[in-house]
Formats: sequence, C-alpha cells, structure tokens
Amino acid sequence: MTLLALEDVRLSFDGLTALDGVSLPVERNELVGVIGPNGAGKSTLFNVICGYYRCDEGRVELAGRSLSGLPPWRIARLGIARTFQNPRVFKELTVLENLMVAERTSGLRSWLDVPRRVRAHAREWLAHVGLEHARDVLAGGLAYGDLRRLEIARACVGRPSLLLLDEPAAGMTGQDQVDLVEVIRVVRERDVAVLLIEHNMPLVLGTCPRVVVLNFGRPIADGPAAVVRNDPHVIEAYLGASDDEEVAADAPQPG
Amino acid sequence: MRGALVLRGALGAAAVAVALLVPAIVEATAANPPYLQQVIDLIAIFAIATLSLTLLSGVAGQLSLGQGAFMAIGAYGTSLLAVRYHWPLGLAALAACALCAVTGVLVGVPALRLRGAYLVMATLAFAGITYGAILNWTEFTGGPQGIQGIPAPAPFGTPLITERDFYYLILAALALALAIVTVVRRGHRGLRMRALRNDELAAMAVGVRPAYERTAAFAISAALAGLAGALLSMFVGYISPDLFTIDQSVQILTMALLGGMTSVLGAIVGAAGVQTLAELLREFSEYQLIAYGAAIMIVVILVPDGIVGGLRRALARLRKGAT
Repeated sequence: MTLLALEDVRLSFDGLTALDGVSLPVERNELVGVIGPNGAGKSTLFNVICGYYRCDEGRVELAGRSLSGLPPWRIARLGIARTFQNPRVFKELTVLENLMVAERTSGLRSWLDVPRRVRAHAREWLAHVGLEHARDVLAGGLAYGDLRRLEIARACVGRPSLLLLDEPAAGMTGQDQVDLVEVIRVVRERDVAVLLIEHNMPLVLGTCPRVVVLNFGRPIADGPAAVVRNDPHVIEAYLGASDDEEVAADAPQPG
Repeated sequence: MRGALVLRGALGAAAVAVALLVPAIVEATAANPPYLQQVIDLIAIFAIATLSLTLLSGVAGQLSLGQGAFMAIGAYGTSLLAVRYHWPLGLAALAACALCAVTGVLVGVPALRLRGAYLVMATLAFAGITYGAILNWTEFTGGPQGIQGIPAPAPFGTPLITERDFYYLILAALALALAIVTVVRRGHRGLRMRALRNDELAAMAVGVRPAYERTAAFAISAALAGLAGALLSMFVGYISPDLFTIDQSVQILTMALLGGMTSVLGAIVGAAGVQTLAELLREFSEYQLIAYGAAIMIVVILVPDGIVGGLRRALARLRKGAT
C-alpha cells in the first residue's frame, strides 16, 4: 500500500519556482534517497510534506488521507516525523527531556508528571542512537554530531510511519556515518518508511534501494541506485550543476 | 545522587520551618512587628502573582504586562460576590479564580498571534482597559471609591484579623501556588510548553500544538494572579482601582525578572526584593517606576536569568571547581 503520495506538487516563491510538479509515491517501510544539486527543492519538498509550506497546486496524501492545509503539529500526529537541515533541538531541556517531548499524553495525568512509559520509551531511543551517556546534559551543549542523533531519536519517539531525514550525515565522519546507517536500519525495523535527503552520494547510493533525483524542482530520475547512478540526465544535472543556494535551506519562521 | 536528594529534603524542611516561624521571629526582633508582618504578608501575596508569570513566561514563554488586571478581576470578583451577593468568602474567591481562568483564555486566544514586544503591548492594553472599566463602571464596581467591608476570612470559624493570622492563610495559598507551578513545570505538559518556548518549529514537528499549550498556560497563569488578587482584597479589607493600575503589572513583571523565572524560588526572591524597595522608597512613590525600570535594566544586563538564576550558575561553577 502506498504510504505517502505526492501528486503534481507545485510551489513557487515570488515567481521563483521551487517545486515544479513533483509526483512521488512512497511505500510502507520503504527507504528512499532524495538527491539533487543545491536549490533543487529537496528541503522545500520536506517542508511541504510536513505542512510548513503550503503547496500552490497538487496533493499530498498520507495513507489515503489528504494533508492539504493541515498545520505541522497535526501532520506530525498523523505520523510524519522529520529532522531539520540545521539541527533544531530544545536547548534548555536535557537530552532525555528532548525525547520525552515527542511522546503524546493527554488528560490530567499529563499535567502532573511524566508517565513512566514515556520515560522508558525515550530511554529506549536514547540507547538506539548511543546518547545514554548524555542523558541529563542540556541539549544546547551537545556536539554537532550528537545534535543530529538527538534529532533523529526525537523524531522516532513519536512512533511515526514516515521519517524525513534532511541531510543527517552533514558534518559527520566515518564512524558516525556507519552509526547513522545502523540507526536507519533500526528505524525501519519498526515498519517506518524513510525519506533521506543527503549530499553524500556514496552513502545514499550504498544504502538506499531506491533513489529519486530532483533538479530545478522536478524529479528527473527515480529508480534503483545502480540505474539512477548511470542515468544521463542525472550525470548532466550534476556536471552542469549550478551552485545556487538552496531555495529554502530551512523551514521559515511562522507568521 | 541520593546525597543531593537528602540535602534537598533537608533544605526544604528547613525552609518550611523558617516560613512557619516567621511571625514568631518578627514578634521577637522587629521594632514594629505588625508593620513588618504586613510587609511580609504583602510579599507572599505578590510572590503568588509573580508565580503566575513564572508559569506563563518561564514555562510557556509568553510575556505579559497584564497580570495586574487578572489580580483586579480576582479581587473585584471575590469582593463583589462576597459583599454584594453574600457568597461565602472561600467560594467567592474560588469563583473569582475561575473567572480569571476564563478571562485568561479570552485574552490568550487573540494573543496567540503575537510575540515579544507586541504581546507585551497587547497585555498592557488589557491592563489599561481593565483599570478603566473598574474605575468608570461606577454602579457595578463602586468606581473610584471601590468596595468596602470585605469580610475577613474565617477558615476555622474565627475570623482572621491580625497580620499574623493572615500570614498562615497566605502562606498556605503560596504553598499551593508553588506546588502548582512546580508540578506543571515538571509534568509532561510543562515539558511540551518549555519545548515550545525553546523552539516552536521543532516543537510542532513532534506534535506540540502551540495554540493549545499557550492558551492553557494563560488560563492557569490568570487563575494564579486572580488568587493573589482575591487574597489582597481580603487582606486589605477594601479595594479601589488604584491598587490595580498599570504600575501594578509593571511591578509584577519587575519581580519576576529580578528574581528570575527559571525557578519558582525566583518569584519569592523577586517579590521580596521589589516590595522591600517599594517600602524603602515609600516617601518617593512617584519615582517608583524609575526604580523599577532601573532594576529591570540592571538585572537584564547583568543576570538575564534573575538573581536566583545567577546564584544557581555561580553555585554550579563552584561545585565544578571543587570536584
């Protein structure tokens, strides 16, 4: 069954086309790499899926349910979790608290304390990303690589059905990247689909069975890594790639 | 870890003991015990009002210059219900706090669109409107004359008359307010509010609903400020609009900033500091706002997290140096 369906999604900012008719189905538990030159619209695509941007045209559906016009928090509760290109953690909260935020509780109990199951679940993810040692450290004091791990763990605590990772390996070195691949594997064991934006080509081509290539806001290739790698359009896009800044490097401030 | 807990418990017990012994200490040492006890009672009342900001600002990240208006609604609600409609005083105070919570939602919802200075302006306007209403709606609020003859509370049958008797009632209310803010801050909802305060975009990405959390914070905060107002009206025995000018809201914000909003203790320290300052400057009351302004500037520049926040950091540094 198709989990996420994008159909002909278009979005432009002041006449500048960011997404130019993106159609993309993602199956349950699938791992899809999203690559493309700077400014190809990768982060913009994530922001549309998560409700931070509203697309001008087209449809976004999660498990058959339209996400059009829904606010980000609603989309998050429906099962789409994300990380940001520039890590955004709750700096004044401890690492464990950062994770506990992502759990859902309701009723009077949620006012009184943090339920034990919330704490336990958060700890579980803390272990999966190898941050147990930093459990009670304020998140603002973490090193860059740990910020990224924390963001991924936080995204997973909410039990999403789809996880969007925006350049998770940026600034990561060898062993960190190996760990990242392992974390992605753990995530997918829980029947989560993963969309992975990444500039690190060996990482994407090596881990993602399916790769989508965006260029100028349009998918120019979509298929197995081995095929996409040799696609003439892709080679041209990369060789002729301009160094334009990403249209929307990060999500905008609301309002 | 266990040692820290034991130390904490011991400190807490000591604080409770001192708080209970305050009237005896005042009696034994002060030149004018009733006066000093009155100042202390007022400090405790304003500490409750300040705690309302600790919750709204320190936890949920919304600034307000309108807490004085919620105090006014708490005070007038209690007084009108008790004096004019002869409700039992406790019930009147409870109803007034509930009314404050509802008003908090009504103010909080439009305020959702606002941040920072704009939110401060909007809440300031609310304080101004409330002041104007109680001053000019003479038939209902008594206008400039206010409301007199507010009965003394009598939780155990005999009315509390002296400052000393009142102290224990106020202390109980302060303990309740401290407990509420502490529990909310540590609970899961409080965690979500603090996350929202830190980074709204990231909070939304994990399903935190900003409007919902902020409105809830506004409601609880308003009820706490209302509780302070209700106590003030019972304590003073009569109320008039000049207790609830915009200056009052400024004073509460000054207390919160001075003490710091990262800890509930900040509210007590801030209330004590500002109230003491106000008593010392009593003869120059027209310059009070200047003193508050200066205090805010000094604190914001030197210790942005207030006196308690600054002390905590200093303590942490000492501890780090020791090990």
